[in-house]
Formats: sequence, C-alpha cells, structure tokens
Amino acid sequence: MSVGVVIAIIVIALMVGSVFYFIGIYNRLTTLGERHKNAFSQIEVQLQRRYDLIPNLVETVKAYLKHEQETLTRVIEARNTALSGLKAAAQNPGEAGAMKQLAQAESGLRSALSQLSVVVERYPELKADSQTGALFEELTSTENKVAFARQAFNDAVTAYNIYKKTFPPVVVAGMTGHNNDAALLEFDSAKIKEAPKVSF
Amino acid sequence: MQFFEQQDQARAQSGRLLLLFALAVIALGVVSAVAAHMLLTFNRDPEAPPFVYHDQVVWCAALGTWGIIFLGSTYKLTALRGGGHKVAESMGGTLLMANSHDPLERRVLNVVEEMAIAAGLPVPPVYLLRSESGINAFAAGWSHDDAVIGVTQGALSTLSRDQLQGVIAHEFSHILHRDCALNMRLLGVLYGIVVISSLGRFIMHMTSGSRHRSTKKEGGVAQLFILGAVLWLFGSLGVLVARLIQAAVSQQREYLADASAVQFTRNPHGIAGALAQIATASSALASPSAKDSSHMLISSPSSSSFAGLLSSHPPLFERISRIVPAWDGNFDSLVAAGTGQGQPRRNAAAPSEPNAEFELEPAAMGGELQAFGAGRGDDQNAVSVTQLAAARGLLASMQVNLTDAAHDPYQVRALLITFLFDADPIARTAQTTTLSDDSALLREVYAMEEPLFSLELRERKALFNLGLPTLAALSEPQRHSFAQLVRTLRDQMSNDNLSGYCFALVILRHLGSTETEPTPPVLVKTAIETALGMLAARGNTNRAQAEVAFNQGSQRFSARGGRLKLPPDDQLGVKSLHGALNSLRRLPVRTRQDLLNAAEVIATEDGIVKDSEQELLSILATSLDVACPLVA
Repeated sequence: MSVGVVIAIIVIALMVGSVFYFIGIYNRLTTLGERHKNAFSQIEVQLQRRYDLIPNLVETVKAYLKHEQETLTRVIEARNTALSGLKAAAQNPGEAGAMKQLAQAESGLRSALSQLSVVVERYPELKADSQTGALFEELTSTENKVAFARQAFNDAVTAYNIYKKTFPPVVVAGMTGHNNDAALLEFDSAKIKEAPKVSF
Repeated sequence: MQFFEQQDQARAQSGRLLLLFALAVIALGVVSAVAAHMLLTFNRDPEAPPFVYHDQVVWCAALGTWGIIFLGSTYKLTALRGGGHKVAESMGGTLLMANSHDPLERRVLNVVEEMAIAAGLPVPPVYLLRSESGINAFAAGWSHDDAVIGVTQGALSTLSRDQLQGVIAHEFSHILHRDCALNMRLLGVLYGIVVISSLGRFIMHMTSGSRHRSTKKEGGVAQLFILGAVLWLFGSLGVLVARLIQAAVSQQREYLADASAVQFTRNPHGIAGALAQIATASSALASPSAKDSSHMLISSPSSSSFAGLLSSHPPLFERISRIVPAWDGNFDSLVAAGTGQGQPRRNAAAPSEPNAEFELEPAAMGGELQAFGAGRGDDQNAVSVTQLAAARGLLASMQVNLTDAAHDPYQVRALLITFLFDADPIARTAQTTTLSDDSALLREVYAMEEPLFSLELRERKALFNLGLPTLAALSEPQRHSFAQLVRTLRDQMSNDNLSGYCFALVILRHLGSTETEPTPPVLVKTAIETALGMLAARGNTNRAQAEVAFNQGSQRFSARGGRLKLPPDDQLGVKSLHGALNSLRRLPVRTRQDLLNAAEVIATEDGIVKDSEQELLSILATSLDVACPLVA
C-alpha cells in the first residue's frame, strides 16, 4: 500500500509539474504576443510623425508649385490613405490583411513623394528654399526611424512565430487561440531607394 | 533614520525573515510526514500490529514536501531572474514608449523622469497595466539598473498630477531603499509554499471527480483525497504563516515609502489624495499574478479580503492618518483637496516658503519622519524638493531635439555613443571606422556631438540617464547588435578614458548584456585601491599631491583591512578598472556607499572639484549601482 501511495504521489507531482509547465508556456506565448503588438506602437509613432510632416511640406511648396496641383493632390490623398491604413493596422498589429493594406498605402505614398521630389528638382528657387530642404531632410531621417521600428516589430513577430512552432508550445498555442501567425510588416524595398531625395 | 542604520535594519529584518521562512518550510515537511504516517496508521489492515513505524513513507513525505517547495522557489526565481521587466510583463504590463504623445502617458513618463533625474538614478522604464481599472502601482527589479515602475490605467486616468507624483515618489522610495530585491526573493520562496497548497487542491479536485466513476479503488482514492486535503490545509497554513511574516516587514516598508513620498515631493496631499482615491475607488487587480506580487504594489490588490495582520499593506485609514494627522476621516475631502490644490502645489518646490512647509512635517509625520533626520545630509537615499525642482528645470531647459533624441529608440543609440567617444585622436579614428559601417547612425552621432558638449556636465549626465530606459524598446536582435557595437567601441578606447569606460559599462548593463569572457577576480583591496587611486591621480597634477588625497580618502578603509597604498600610475587605466569594478559590484551596498564617500573626500581634498572629477564621481556611482543625487 505504502508503495502505491508513494507512486501516486510521484504521478501527481509529475502531473502538477506539467500543469505548471504548460502555464509557463501559455504565459510566454501571451508575453510574446503582447510584445509584438506593443512594438507596433513605435512604428505608429514614427509613421504618424511622417504623416504629420507631409501637410507642412505641401503647404510650403504650394506657393511655388501652382501648376503642379495634381501632384500635390496625389501626395495629400496618398497621405490620407496611408493614415487610415495606419489607424486600421494599429487596431490589429500583426494581422495579415491590415499589414498588407498599410504596406500598400505606404508604397503609394512613397511613389507620390518621389514624384514630388522630381517636380521640386525642376524649380531652382524652391530647391534653394531652406525650409523645404529641412522638411525633406526630416522626412528622410524619419524614414530611418521607421525602418528601425519596423525591424524591431518584425523581430518581435518572428520571435513569436518561431516560439509558436516549437514542440510543446505548438500544442498549447493550438488550444489557447494562438492559431494564426503574426504577419511581418514589409515595405517595398525597391521603393525606398527612390523615396524622397535629399540631394538638394 | 540614517542611511546605514536603515540598510542594517533592512538586512537584519530580512535575515530574521528568512530564518522564519526556513522554520516554516521545515515545519511544513515535518507536518506532511506526520500526516502521511497517520494516514497509513488509520487505514491499516485489522490484522496488522497496532503500531508500525513507516519510516520510508515519513521520509518520502518530508523530502517530497521540501523538494516541491525547493523546485517551486527555483522555478519562480529563475522566472524572476530577468528582473523588473519580467515581473511587469507577467502582470500584464506593456512598456510605455518614451516618445509617446498620449497626454496621460506623457504625464506619467514626465513625473518618473523628474523623480529619477532628481535622485540621480537611471530613469526606470514605465509599464502600463492597460486592462486594470483599479488604482495601483508597483516597482520591481533586482538593482537600480533593471528597476521598472508599473502603473495601472486606473491610476493614470483617475489621479491628478500631484497624486500621481506622490504615488511615483512612493515607488521610488522602494527602489532607492532596495525593497524590491528583498521582495522578489520572498516572492520566490512564497511561491514554493503556494505550490504545496495548490497541489493539495489539485489532488482533491481530481479525486473528488473520479470518485463517481470508479468504485473499485474507493479506498485508495479516499486516501488520496485525504492526502490532498491535508496538503491543501497545511500548505494554506504555510502560506498564511509566510504571508504573516512577510506582511510584518512589508507594512513597515510601506509606511517608510509613504513618508519618503512626502519628503521627496514636500506635498502630503499628493500621496494622501491618491490613497483616498484608492479608498473611494479600488486598488483591485484582475491579473491572477497580482496576489503573489501584492507586497510590491502601492495598495493591496484584493480589497479588504485580507485580515489586517495578513495584509501586505497597512490599512489606508492608518496610512493617511500618519501622512495628514489633521485629517477628518473623510476620504472625499482629501480627494477634492488633492485635485483642487494641484495647480498651486505643483510649484511647491519653488523657493516660496520651503522652510515653513518643512517645519510642519516632523510633527506631521510622527516618529517616521524624525527618523529621517533633519535633512539630506543624513539620508543619502533621499530626494529633496530642491533637487526635484532642479530636475524639472533641467528637463525643461534642455534643448527639445536632444530630449527627443533621448526618447527615440533610433536616435538614442547615437546619443549614448557620443558618451563613448574618445578625446584621444588615435582611439577616436578607430571608433569612427567602426561606426562608419552604419553611415546614418554616424551622421546622427556627429549631429549630436556639438550640442551635447556645449551642455553642462549635469545636463549631459541627465540626458544619459534619460536615454537608458528608451533602450527597452529595442528588439532582442537590435539590443544584441547595439551591445556588440558598444563593446567594440569600449575596447577601442584609450587607457585614459575612464568615464567613457564607465558609461559603456552602464549601457551594457541596461542592455542586459553579459560579458563574453569573464574577467579574472581581483582582490577587493586591490580593487578599492584602483578605484580610489584613479580618482586621486586624475584630480591632482603630481604624484605627491595624489598620494596626499588618496591617503585622506582611504583612511576609512585603512582601519578596516590594512593600509591602502596608491598603486603605480600604469595600473590606473581602463584595463585595471575593468576587473576592479567587477569585484566592487559584488560588495554589500554599505561598503559601496563607503567607497563613494571616500571617493568624494579625494575629489574635494584640494578644495576644487574639477568637471572631470565630478563626472568620474557620478559615473562611478552609477556603475557601482549607487544613487548619485543631482547636485542642485
């Protein structure tokens, strides 16, 4: 009998141990999930700053570019689309659809901006304007910050996705609603190269 | 209470506490052994002899209990090893971004920054418990380097700025007085005991469920059920005793932190108003891990479910009465007073009438405040109102783009690298070559260098401290590569760049980066000689003067362990400091504080404290994990 009780105790201790183990895995999943969602807020801050700069830029160059109304409208429209894309993405960071939509809106904005910078090239008096130069410079430096924040976000997403796929966590993830992989946020890298030029 | 007495008292308290804990753990093992034996005795066969000593079972039960407690504690302590960040995340906190624009988030970040800069501490990262609507806050961490502050959404949106400041000051007292490390250790042991009672409950649950199904093994299952009940009962009793012990100490620390909050902000209505808000609203937390961490919070997470003695926090009524003795007992009046007086009180630090306010307090605080002594000179772990005002002024006067850079995860790297740049041209060239891999970053460094070095020393140091928590926003790989970069830049430093070396050390510690190659241990005596000798050699032009200063400063240590000698000049460079600081870090807080005092004596020996000495002194304090208050 005494041996039976001892065995029972050992079995129960093992069961309890595994329960704690699973709780640990679940907590880790939750933490990693929260972490990548939180990492998106940094992208949000930086992109928001970018989107806030654009109306200023348009306002500054408007006086010179009376005949380029179309380009300016395109920039503003692209900016507004990107802004709403950002709002939607911030609601649900890591959700594939929202990430894709934001990436598309961003690339639209980038092409509109690069078009604007081509136009600006044609106006020597505008090129000489220090305020325009400063705004373009700030756009570019924000670009670096966005890239850095995006890298941090994608790192966090990758850590979450990888952890989800390893052995014991994959079971827990299936049971606790961590079913879908979080999506990376990738901006079209070809577009970055022709993004607003600072070569004034 | 003086700094050292306070430290001693805390140590003695934790010693007693750990002894009691150990006794409780031993008792638990004995109790479960007795229980297991009784179980077998009652259930024996009728033919068996009346009394058999089941020695194996007894040993199994005792060792099993101790084993479970040990494993539980080890598990929890391993989980907590990551420091404050881990605790905050396990409670459901999300890191607040230092460059947040949300007005409420901005406010709490500003309050934390002011307090940290005033105390001369690196600014701790702030975690927000978004889903918690109760008013609560906590501080966690093993050292000043990995300390974090957590606040609930409820605290953020309900409290006025003054009340919030009171709460944050309370948490800073926990950080400054190093209550957090003790708390985290207790959390580990407590968890081990909690596991016992959870195990009992689990067994009871399992066996009561299966009883309906199987009738064959009725006897065995009933035995198991009783075993579970016994485990649960004694486990719970163990938890109760452990909590009781813990609560006794915790309550004292809470009173101390409340008193410190008043001392730091010079505004009893801030913290009292916040406590009154908690009394009228709630400090309850939904997170299941909140109960384990109750002693870290500003107010008990499960309202009034604890009996008074068991609570990790003294009753709110009592706490407020100690802060505001003239209080009429009506919570609402305090809430209103706190918010109403918010505006004029905010500038209480202005030189309007600090003395009048100060004199009010010893009476107001009863024994508690008198224990603090008359002023800052006694308690080095304090923040004064003038320091707080100075910190606020400093933060306000700093160029916006530099402060922004300190808050921005991308730019903060450039800002921190600027502190590592060497004056020596050869070293500098090497460092620039390293940096040129990332041209955008190098450009940021260049852009920041000039405005940064036009600042005063204390402003520069404040910016450095401001930038450290921003590193928490970096992802793991980013942190790793930045640590790599800092390490490379450090290795390229000239042998004279002591402050640069210390800055690198602090950055690396904040990145949670461990040294790849362990440094050989250095004798404590040699380490002290190196640290003090360094300062003496820097502050004086020739060796004779340096020796005078060195002897003056080292007297305190000479009495303790033989005469200290100023090492030869070639042993006073970065290379020797590297090993020395590693040894010094392991010394008890008190000795490190002593060392810093001795360093101060050396720096002031010749009557003038040069900028370089001041910088070295303050960064030495930070690298020894000792607070170095802002000299207003």
